[in-house]
Amino acid sequence: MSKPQITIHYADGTPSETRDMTPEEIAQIPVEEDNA
Amino acid sequence: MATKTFTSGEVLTAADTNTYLANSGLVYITGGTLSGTATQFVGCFTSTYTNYRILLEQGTLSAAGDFCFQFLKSTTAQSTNAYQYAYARLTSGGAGANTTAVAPIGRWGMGANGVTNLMTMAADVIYPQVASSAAYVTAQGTSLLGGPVYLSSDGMCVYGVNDSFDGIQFMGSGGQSITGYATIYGYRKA
Repeated sequence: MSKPQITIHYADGTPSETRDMTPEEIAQIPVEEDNA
Repeated sequence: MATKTFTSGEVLTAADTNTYLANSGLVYITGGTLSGTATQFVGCFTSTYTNYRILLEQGTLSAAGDFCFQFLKSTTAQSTNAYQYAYARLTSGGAGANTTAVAPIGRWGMGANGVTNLMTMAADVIYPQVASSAAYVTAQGTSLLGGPVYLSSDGMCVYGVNDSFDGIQFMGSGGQSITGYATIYGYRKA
C-alpha cells in the first residue's frame, strides 16, 4: 500500500516537491469524526 | 500613501511605475496545485505584509468531508488545540441550514462536509506572522451539493495563542486526497 504524500510549494522560488509523508506527518493526519 | 494622478504629457519613470503602478492593493505571493494528503505553502507569510488573502479554486476531496488548514513553522504543521473555529452553512435551494461549531482542535476547516467537489474559498488571514497577536481568519466557501444546488459556508477561525507562522497547509478532515489550486496574496500596507 502506497504511503500518503505531501506536496510542498515554496514562496522563495525553491522548486515544489511531492514526497511520501514522514511517520510524524502521518501521525498528524486528522480523523473525520472531529468535523462531523 | 502611494497614489498619484498623472497629467497629460508627463514622463512616466521607472520609479513611478514601481511605486504607483506595479504595487496593487493585493500583491501575488505564491500559488500552486493541491495534491496528495496535504499540500503546504511554505514561506508565504513574511514581515512584508501583515494581512493576506487566500483563494482556493476547484477544490476536491477523495471522500466527503471538510477542507482543513493548519499554520506552518517552516514545513512543520502546527497542530496544537489553539484553533477555535465555527461556520454556518446554507444551501441555494433553501432546503437546509446548519452550523458547525467545533471544540478547539489542531486545525481549522471550511465546510464541504458531506460532499467532495467544487470547493471554492476566499479567506482573509489577519496577523499570521505577528508574534505578539493571535491569528484571525474570516472565510467564505462554496461547494456543489448536487444538481443545481450549492452550499455556502461562512466561517471564522482564531488561533487563540499569540504566535508567528510563515506558511499554511491544506488537507482533508479525514486524511482524504486533495486536488485544486490555491493562490496567496498579500495586502499592500501603503
